Amino acid sequence: MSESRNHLALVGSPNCGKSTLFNWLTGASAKVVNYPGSTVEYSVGSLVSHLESYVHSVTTIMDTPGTYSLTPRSQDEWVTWKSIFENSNYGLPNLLLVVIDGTQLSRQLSLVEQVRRTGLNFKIIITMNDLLEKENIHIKIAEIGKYFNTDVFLFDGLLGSGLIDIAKSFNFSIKSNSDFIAPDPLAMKLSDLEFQNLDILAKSSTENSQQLKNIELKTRKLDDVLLHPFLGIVFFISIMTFLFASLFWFSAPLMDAVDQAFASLSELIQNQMPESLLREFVTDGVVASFAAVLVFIPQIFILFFGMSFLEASGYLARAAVIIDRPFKYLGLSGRSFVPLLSGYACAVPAMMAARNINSTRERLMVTFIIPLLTCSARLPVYALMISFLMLGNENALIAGMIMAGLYLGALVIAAFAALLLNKIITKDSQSFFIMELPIYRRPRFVFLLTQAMNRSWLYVKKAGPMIFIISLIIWGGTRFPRSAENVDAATRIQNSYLGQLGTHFEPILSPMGADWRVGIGLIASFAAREVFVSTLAITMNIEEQDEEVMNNSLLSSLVNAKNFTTGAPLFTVPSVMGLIVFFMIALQCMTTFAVAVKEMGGLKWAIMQLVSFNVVAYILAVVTYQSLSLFFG
Amino acid sequence: MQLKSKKGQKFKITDIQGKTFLVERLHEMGFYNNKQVEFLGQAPFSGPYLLSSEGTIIALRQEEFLCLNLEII
Repeated sequence: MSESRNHLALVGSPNCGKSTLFNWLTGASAKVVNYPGSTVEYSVGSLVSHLESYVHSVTTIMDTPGTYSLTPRSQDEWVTWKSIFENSNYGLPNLLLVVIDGTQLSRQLSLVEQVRRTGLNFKIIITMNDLLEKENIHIKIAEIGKYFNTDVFLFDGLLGSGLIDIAKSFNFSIKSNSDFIAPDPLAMKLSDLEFQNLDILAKSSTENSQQLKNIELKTRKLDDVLLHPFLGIVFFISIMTFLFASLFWFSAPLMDAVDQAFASLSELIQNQMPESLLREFVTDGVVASFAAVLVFIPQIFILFFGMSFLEASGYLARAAVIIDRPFKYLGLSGRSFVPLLSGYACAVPAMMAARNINSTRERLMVTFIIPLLTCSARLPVYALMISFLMLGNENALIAGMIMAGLYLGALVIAAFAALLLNKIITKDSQSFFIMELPIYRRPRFVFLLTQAMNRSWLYVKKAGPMIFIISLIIWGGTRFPRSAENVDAATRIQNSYLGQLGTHFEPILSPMGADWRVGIGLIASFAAREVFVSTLAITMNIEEQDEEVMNNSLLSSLVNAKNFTTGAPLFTVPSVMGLIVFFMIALQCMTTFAVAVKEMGGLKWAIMQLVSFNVVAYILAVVTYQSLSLFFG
Repeated sequence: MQLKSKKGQKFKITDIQGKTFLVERLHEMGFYNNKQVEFLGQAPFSGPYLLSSEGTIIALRQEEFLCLNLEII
């Protein structure tokens, strides 16, 4: 590490306002949280430009996951420990900024004491100054500074006041840490007496501390309703149903707009480019693929927005507490709620969020069942399938309810899987549930909006290249080798490379009511689930082109699609239901598999997960198709 | 500590007993001897107990709650 470089690390309890300070210091769009464990891995940023003038040397700042103590118990707390003491990328920090919540001094000073014991250079930052000032509470920073023999700063996360003084304090002569020996985590434990001394310090350095009660009062009033034995459950179910049903209710006009934009783009290309193979590829391959998937961005955005709202408002921690008892029967705890709920967005960060769970056993169970939850990549598939089932019925309310039903169904399946695992995996005794409930705060709309937009953009960035590559392969595979002009569409596509390859899969696919075109979609979906829709957009559009039906939506292509052999409609209620069941259970995402290997500590569990999910998905899809076929003829 | 408490009942912690890791975590969450806590009730589904301690609301299961020896104030 260069001698002229400052490396700073932020340490603090969950909900202490650490990530907010990190955002102010680095200008990065890292998450602000009201829930433990949201900083899944440590993040690093450089000092924001307007603060650079106050600091003489290049400064990097690292944000670590929230920790109550420097004696690590959860994976998350180990991340904090290792990112400070065993960080091969940045080395030891020159300065630790211990961030503590000014409304929780007596509890959080213990972390400061532990940091002091490490022997590393540190300064204290007391947050939530806006709340304290509102209640006329003053913290005597000099007294705290004297006790710990270091500088103490007040910081207001809402307006950022105090930031410049904090930045100025980064100017100090950098000590070489080469002879520093990482402390023993066990030596960090404080005695009862030490806790009590810190409590005395907290009390003596807080003027008007009786006013602290007022800050909590509003929250307690809300909790009377939201954690009420009966009303609490009603609100919980209503909030969750509203979240998932609103994906349908609010997205329709936005989805129409995206659809229109792509139709115009396609038309523009048709008009501007001369007729060629490239134009065909661009319009029928690339644009059709992206349109099929990106049309669901509004729904994904709404999901992310809703989750950010629940997180930032403080409700998510309550939801975890409400669900704790029911989860206990499954061998889980309320702590699993956030990773599982995140699983409804994407399995990858969800598996990482499971590091917050202190019990190894519970973490393994949660990581195992996360891919069963309806991740956003399934949304395009479900939306298409529901639109098919709802043909001729424009009732958005029912469509929304079906969607909410699918989300709930995923929970039931996951619960069943958890029950099974609970029987298989040996119990451990390190499980406990102690959770802090942060005060309710009104989230800043701009913050929610940016966060939801960033996450949706990440989704596009992640899915984009995959959609492009797969669309190229699928388009080429279904268009080549070129047949003679007079050959009909069915024969032409069957003679194509993918057609020839696909016929080998027919025996496996026909029991679930699918043909090889759907099969190609299913195979492609193992790259990323949403690719299933874009693949169908290419394979199904072939007929339409031949019949000169331009600009037909994917949905009508599905309605008109015929089985090449029998001539019967390919997509029927039984076959679509079979596909939905398959998508509900199958583990098709390679990224998830890679992360699962890492998070479950090796190949064994990850392979078990991959194989069992896909085999069960296939069997249930066949059973669904076959049994529904009896009713629908 | 058997709990048949009413909402709003205030206690003083007289001792914390149980598995070491649990006692330590309770300490870190702000529970230690002589600390005052207020009982806020129980979460839905007869779930975790809710305690308030100097501006912090903490939810904990019965197993963890029973580690706290409490004295009514």
